[in-house]
Amino acid sequence: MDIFIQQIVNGLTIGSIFALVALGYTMVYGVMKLINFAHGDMVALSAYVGLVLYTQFVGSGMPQAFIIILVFLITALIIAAAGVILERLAYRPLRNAPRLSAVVSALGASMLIQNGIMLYWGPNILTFPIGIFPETSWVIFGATITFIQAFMLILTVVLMVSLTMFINFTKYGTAIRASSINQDAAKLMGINVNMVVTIIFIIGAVLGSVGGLFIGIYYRGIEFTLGWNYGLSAFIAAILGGIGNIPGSMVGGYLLGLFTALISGYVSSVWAEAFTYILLIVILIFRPTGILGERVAEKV
Amino acid sequence: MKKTTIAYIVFFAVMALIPFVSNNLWITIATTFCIFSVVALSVDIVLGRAGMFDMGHAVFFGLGAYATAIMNVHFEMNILMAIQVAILLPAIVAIVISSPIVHLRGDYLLVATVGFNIVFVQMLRNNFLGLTGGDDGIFGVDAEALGLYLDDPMIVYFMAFTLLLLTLLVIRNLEKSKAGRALHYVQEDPIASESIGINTRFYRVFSFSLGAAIAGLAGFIFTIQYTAVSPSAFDFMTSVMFFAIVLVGGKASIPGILAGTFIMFVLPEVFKGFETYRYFVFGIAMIVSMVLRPQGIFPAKYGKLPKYVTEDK
Amino acid sequence: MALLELKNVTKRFGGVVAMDALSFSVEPGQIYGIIGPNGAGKTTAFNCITSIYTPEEGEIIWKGKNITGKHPCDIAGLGIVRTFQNIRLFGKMSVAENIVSGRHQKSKQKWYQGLLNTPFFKKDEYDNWMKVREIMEFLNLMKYAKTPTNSLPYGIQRRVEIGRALATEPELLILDEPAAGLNDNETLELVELIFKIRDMGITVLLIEHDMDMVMQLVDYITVINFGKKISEGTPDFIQNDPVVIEAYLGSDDEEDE
Repeated sequence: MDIFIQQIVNGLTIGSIFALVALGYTMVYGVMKLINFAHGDMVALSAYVGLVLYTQFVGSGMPQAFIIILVFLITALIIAAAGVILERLAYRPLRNAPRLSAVVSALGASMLIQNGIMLYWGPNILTFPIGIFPETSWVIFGATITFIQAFMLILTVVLMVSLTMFINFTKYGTAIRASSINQDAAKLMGINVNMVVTIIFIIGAVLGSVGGLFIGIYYRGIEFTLGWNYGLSAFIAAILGGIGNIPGSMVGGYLLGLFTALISGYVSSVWAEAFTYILLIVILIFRPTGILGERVAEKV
Repeated sequence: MKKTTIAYIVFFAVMALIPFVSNNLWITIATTFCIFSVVALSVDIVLGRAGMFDMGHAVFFGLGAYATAIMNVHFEMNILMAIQVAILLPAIVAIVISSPIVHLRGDYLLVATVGFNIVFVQMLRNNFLGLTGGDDGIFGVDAEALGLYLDDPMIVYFMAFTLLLLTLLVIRNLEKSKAGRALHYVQEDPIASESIGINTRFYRVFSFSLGAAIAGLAGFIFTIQYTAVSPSAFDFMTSVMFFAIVLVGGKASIPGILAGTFIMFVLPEVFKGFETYRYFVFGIAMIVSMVLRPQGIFPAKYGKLPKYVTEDK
Repeated sequence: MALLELKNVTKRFGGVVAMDALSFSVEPGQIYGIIGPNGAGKTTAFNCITSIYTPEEGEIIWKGKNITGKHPCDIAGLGIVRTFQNIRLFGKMSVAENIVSGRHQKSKQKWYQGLLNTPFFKKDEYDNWMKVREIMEFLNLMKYAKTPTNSLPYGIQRRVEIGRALATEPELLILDEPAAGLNDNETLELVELIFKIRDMGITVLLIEHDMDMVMQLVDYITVINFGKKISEGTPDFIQNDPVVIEAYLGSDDEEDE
């Protein structure tokens, strides 16, 4: 029982990362119908940028909490800028091209960023220092929850609530929802779709940067390929929830986190990845539009 | 004679002469080109012709390669006899795994095929059924048959070159046949295809199976070339490369795919110093080529009809 | 015996009844019209006949056999073929390549014969293409043989789609609003073409909005509204049927869509 609850806590923690990263995929897909393969690599980039910033600031005598806030904010800014540049250079010119061309461009962007990281920071694992957060932990129902985990869970929930409010209650949120339902109609109604795309790339990048920093502070070791590894898992989470569906991605992220944690805890960790993908394929076969997605019939 | 005919003749002549005018290094590069071209052409059957986003084709390439190694090393089968397993196993697996997913729309199919690729590689790495040898793969394939050592670079080259010729012939015939046309119809409009009696499901599964059989054959020669197999050659990144080759070269376009394979696999060998920058430059090249030529380098041409259809009686 | 018979066919989408116990029967050699205001369920009826939809209730009988729920691709093999309201051609491909697609069922080559380029395959291909040539000549499409269909004007695209259907050598040709988007001249040509097709021994079932055209073209009409049959009979009878007149006057504003 203790293991079970412990795995639930761990699952929710990983699930937070998946959910944050999944939102970036799902929002871009919702509006542009494009799998942004480079999103995972943006997440990786944010972990590297965060590490550099932290090492810069750590000896400066600023209070630790202030340093952490600063690292999160500056990383988010840099990744958001990178996201906007990526969209301008690699996706915008292909807005009216065949869909597969944009997919290849996205794959190219992914390779470019991933190998850019490798060339700049080297192919070896870099480690986040210990002591970024207090070593405190609590025991609840027999499961240990560390300070880092609590921080991740709470920050994720805060971000998700903010995003939900933004999407549902602001003018920009309405524009995003309208564009994801029907881009042409949105354009006719005077919505600037280019602006909407820029906004979703910024939001996706900001959430992804938090995810990337979480990966760094939680697992500590970061590698240039982490974008693919976490990116694909997050993408699965987005599909589980129904790609294009924002609350779906949040739910999908946590579900996938729990599933992975329970499989590694009870079955086998060497097969965990395979099980995840088998789950994905089964879901795709029986509910291709995800757990929360709607079924769409083609009009003849 | 038409320009394309001349281009093909020159291409085949150069390919046939390579082993006589160059050293082993170049023969190896040319062999790799032939094998990877065959795989790219087999991906094209699914992706370019039937229009299904197959990003897991390395599974079938790997199945052919592993089937050859396993049959030879674990079951002591003569390497040439293993060829049947290397064709049939991928073809059958393709039918089994594609049947439930071919109805999925574009991106969903893409994700499902990625999923199959990752499950496949994990099976290889975890020494599935004690046959696949784990992370290191399988060594010591015995390539002796008919009194020859088939792994001799020259022999491997000619096997790979022959396979390329055969594949091109098969694809040329496919293009002109009812089945090959049906793939294009299914890609363009499945509902209209069904309305005139084309079984879309059959042709989708057929394209996977034919593509898998050809990729399996390429895997067979790949195993002979290295007398070993390892999981990393068939991971999801390999599938991504083939996917990109087809789209950068041009869907359903043979010259496009040959050019794509050349750029992706041969050029890096030529500029060895640039090895570490390889994927970085590919990334840029993929974006630039799609922005400049969204339909690929040599887009496929339609409207090729037999002469007797339009000429005066 | 009727060629095609619908018996109480009902199709629902969620709570909406798109077709409510619809029955009618088409005799061999007829030109049969289905008319009705927009949203009346006409295209739904065609989609049920061609198995794109499976009706919840009722039977579709073809030459005495129940064909309800068959796979759509098997319907063409029975001799039933259709065109689409919004024209569904293979746009990137040429006219000839589009028409040859209709040979799919009649052509008996197997996939492996194609790959091996066998003599039987060559003969079969020759026959296919000669049939395509015959159809292109019949429809006056020879000069467009190599032109991609998406670059052709609407009226010609319609003819190509009919040509593709004819290539299947059907017994029943179903036309979904064939005159939509055509000018007066093209409509006249179409009427002539449909008569010619009937004279080739092919039964024609069509949906049409252009009343003048329907009245001069068809032998028998079924009128549907809100998924239900409200009347049937010869054109003369329908033109004077008060029920039909009311249904149309009530929805006059939608007529020109």
